[in-house]
Amino acid sequence: MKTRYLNYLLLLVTLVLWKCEPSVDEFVPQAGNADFSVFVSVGDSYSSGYIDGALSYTGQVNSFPNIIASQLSSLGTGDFKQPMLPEGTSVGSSLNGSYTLQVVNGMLMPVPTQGNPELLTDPTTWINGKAPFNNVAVPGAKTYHLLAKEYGDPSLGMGNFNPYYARFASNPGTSTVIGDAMMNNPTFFSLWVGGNDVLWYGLGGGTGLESGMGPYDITPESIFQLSITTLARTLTTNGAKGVMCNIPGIDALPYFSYIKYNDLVVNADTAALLNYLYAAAPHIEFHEGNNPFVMADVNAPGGIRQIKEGEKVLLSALSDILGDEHYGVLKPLTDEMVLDLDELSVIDDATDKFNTIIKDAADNNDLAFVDANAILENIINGIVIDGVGYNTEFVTGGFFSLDGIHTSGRGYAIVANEFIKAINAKYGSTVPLANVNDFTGVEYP
Amino acid sequence: MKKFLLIGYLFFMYSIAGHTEGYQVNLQGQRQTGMGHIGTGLSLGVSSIHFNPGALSLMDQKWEFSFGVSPIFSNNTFQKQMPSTYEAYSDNPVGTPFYFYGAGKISDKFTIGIGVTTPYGNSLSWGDTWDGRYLIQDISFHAIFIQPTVSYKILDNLSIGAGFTIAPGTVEINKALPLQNQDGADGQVELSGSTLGYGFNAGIYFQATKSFSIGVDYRSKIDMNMDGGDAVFTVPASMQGYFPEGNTFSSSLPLPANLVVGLGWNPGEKITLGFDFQYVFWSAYQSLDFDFAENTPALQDSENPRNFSNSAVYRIGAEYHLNKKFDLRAGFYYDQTPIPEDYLTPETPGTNKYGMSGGLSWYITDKFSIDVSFLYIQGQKREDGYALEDFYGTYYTNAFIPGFGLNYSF
Repeated sequence: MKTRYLNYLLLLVTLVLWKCEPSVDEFVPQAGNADFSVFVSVGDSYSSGYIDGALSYTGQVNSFPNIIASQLSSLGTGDFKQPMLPEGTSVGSSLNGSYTLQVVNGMLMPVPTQGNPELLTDPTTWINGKAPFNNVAVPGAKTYHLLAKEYGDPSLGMGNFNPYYARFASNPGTSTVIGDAMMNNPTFFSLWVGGNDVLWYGLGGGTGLESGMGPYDITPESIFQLSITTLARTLTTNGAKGVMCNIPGIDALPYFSYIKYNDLVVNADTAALLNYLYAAAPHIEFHEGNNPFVMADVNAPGGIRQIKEGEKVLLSALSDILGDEHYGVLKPLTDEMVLDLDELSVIDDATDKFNTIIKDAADNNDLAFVDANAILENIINGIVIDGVGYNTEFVTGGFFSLDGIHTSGRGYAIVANEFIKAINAKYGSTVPLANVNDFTGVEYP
Repeated sequence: MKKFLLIGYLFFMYSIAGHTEGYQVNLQGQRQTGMGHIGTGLSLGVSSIHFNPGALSLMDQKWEFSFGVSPIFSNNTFQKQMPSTYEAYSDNPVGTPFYFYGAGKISDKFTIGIGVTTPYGNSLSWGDTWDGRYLIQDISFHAIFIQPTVSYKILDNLSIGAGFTIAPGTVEINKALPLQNQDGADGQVELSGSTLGYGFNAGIYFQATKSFSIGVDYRSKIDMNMDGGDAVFTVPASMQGYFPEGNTFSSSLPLPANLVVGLGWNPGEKITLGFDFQYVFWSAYQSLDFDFAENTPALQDSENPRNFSNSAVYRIGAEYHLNKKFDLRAGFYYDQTPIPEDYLTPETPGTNKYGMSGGLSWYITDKFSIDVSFLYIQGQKREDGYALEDFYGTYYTNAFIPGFGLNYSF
């Protein structure tokens, strides 16, 4: 009898010891002097959850504003309603689906999936009746687009409006993105726009205007200034607080840095053959090893020259370079495929000017500010977060997704944390950071 | 007085939480453990094989055998660097350090013996999916010290002793690799192997007066050099070529040297007091490196600086000889962490720690006793991390270690 009690006692003691976890100091998030009850996100593809070359359901779930919203949820933030695509779907700006990595001819290549183009092209799939949404970010939007009712007007015909907005606009053709944002009566907002005001000039290979309103033009400075000021002023009219973010420089984007100017590697025999073929253009020379690609340039003798160090070949040229026509070797890369030094300095100047305008708007409205440009510069050199290294290399760097412009899931979590840090610093809040490792990075087959 | 101590002790056990340390495990005798693990300056029979081989030849009887085991119930909680609401709890397997000692006098002056102990080990499991999984998921490291020992009584009050240590050891480390497949699952690496290390343990014991004794013991460093350990990688198929199958690694883990100076004092017939100063040469542990037999552009050798510094443990303990049947014990120690700032990893989440212990021996006969001890380890919470992997937070750890042993001499 006695031993039985002893056994029970032993068992009990063992269980108690086993389960005696150390007590910890509890952390309770604080809102500081911000009111996070209604959070709204205004922006472009970066804020929409665009990833791997498309807007997708999973990308939206892991959009950085949604990550911020879920971190804010411990502080009593209401629902963060996003204009969700149906589960499992995706649609990119070229009506492609999300890219996935696949092994093609022994090489790992991003390959677009089929996707769901009807989500942009068929208005019966649209969700206008569910407006307003808390996340009104529109892929492809420039600053002034967010103020224009034409931007979501399908009656203008394909190509003249943005179906990414039209699909969730409260009233397509009449409503504006900023108006839809204000329908929520936000108490707190994130505003990250301006990227496309420069980026599209780069995506066009610098063929657009240095100041113009065409898709591949750089937005005129006065328009940019007016748009940013109007957006920030509108969002703060009811005393809302918020966070603004500047434009990352083009150097960080793998889309413009994956193909190096001298990635043309030949052996001695091929070099000799190429020199023979280019005998009529003696300023073009090849030798064994790495060589600069050949590009078209109206100002060069014979209209062709080799690319200079520092000039950038666009990722979109990859299939032409690897293709049967051997662009860059036997055929010159076209103007659209390359950003030359002049075009790059135009981009740098515009980025600097726009970033000054964004910073001024943040300061004038007393808002938190994220220096994405500086953060991205830092990631170029490589960073480590919670045991994982990131840099801006295409695919292997882990920070950018397979399109080379938008970040990976973990990249968005890193961005979300930078926003949260800026918010905490400005408003004295202690919004908890997200665990970057909870999100997916680049996925390998 | 003693009763009060025990009650206070129990109360403490249920009300406060705490901590544990390094990969050294100081549980080599129930009698010593009950006194804050002092023993180098005392003559405590056959277990001197570990604590001070110099004292072994002062064994009372011709033969003595001792065996004991001390299951470690340890818990670690990790709270991510603020602001964060993330917490992780380790699910540590119950560690089971044990000891066995046996010795016999072969002459009045000479005593020989053998000790089998487990003074180093580490068993920690954070789980496969926790936030620090790219640093460590779980680690299991065990070394067994087999130590044939000889002790010689130079004078009636002065004796020396030394033992040769053979230490077989095994290690298994699991961590996740940040190479995800298209289901979002991480890659995985498992490093495992076994090896054999060698060292020695030498000590001197001096009974200065009838009531004062002093002992000095030096236990050498043992390098656990491992060659041909198995390195098994699980990665997405398209990456398999970078992580060849059947790969092996070599590595080295030092088990640091210890210098212990111990003092003993008998202020009265019934009371023994002791003080041990233990200096651990942890600076031997500078880096944990894995040199893979086959390297690829994606699989380079791995160097992981640890930069431990030498540390000290201060121990004090007391034994009260209640009557012929019972000895009661209590002790306390303070153990400095060897891990410098910014080098704190979740694989050995060390901190400065306090150990509080109690114990008793029950002499069933003159020759045979049952020895029990209970050690509670409480560490200071430590907010720190490993800079090179940028993994920071606050670590809380505690450990409850009941111990049970048998002693037989004739």
